[in-house]
Amino acid sequence: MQPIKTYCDKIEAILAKRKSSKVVKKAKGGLLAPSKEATTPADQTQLNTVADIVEGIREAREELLNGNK
Amino acid sequence: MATSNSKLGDVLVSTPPGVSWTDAPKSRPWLNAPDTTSVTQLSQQYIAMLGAPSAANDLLDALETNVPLAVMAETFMLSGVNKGIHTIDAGILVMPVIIEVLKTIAEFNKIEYAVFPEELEKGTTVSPRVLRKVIDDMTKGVAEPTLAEPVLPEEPTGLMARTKKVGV
Repeated sequence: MQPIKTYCDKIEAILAKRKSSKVVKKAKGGLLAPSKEATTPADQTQLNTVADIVEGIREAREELLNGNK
Repeated sequence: MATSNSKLGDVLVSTPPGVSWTDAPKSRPWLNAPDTTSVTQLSQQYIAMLGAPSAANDLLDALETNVPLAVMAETFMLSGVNKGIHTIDAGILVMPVIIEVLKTIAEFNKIEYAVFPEELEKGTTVSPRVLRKVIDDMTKGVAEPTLAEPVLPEEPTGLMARTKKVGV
């Protein structure tokens, strides 16, 4: 169960990071700027997908429990 | 393989190593290619499965038994692997989603839950020191039990009462 707990904590950390991070305008990439796809490893993409889904479920739950905001 | 129906002699004989290799290839669902590999698709499948009205009663019964949600999620995930729906890797990736859905269902139905077994142990375990103190406090106030004297019925003393015969 410990590896699963660690994995869940990782997802929580991603969600916490998203909440705390400010919205930053995307930098205009020059010709030499690396593309986003090239810099994000495949594992990170999967993790982000799972984090997106978890965030979505949480938001839906909050909305339903506390009423529409 | 030794099962509960095996004879005593069979139980004592160990399983020969490499017995799984003698099975016919692709004879089990999990030995075949999985139906889904996409995390998104798999999450949708699990959300639909857990949200189905037909599963609600059984799910709520299971939640009320206070089984940690991670254990339940693992069972669902392994059941999916057993059916050949997805690989164990994809299943582990989706586990937080299953846990989150279970949390939502529990909160909607106002059922108390623990996500991991450690939380449950923390909440229910009482240290032996506290237990000993409680037992000592309880036994201190209680006096030693004494044998109660039997209560005899009172003899009637009225005018019409029968007199006791002496020497019979």
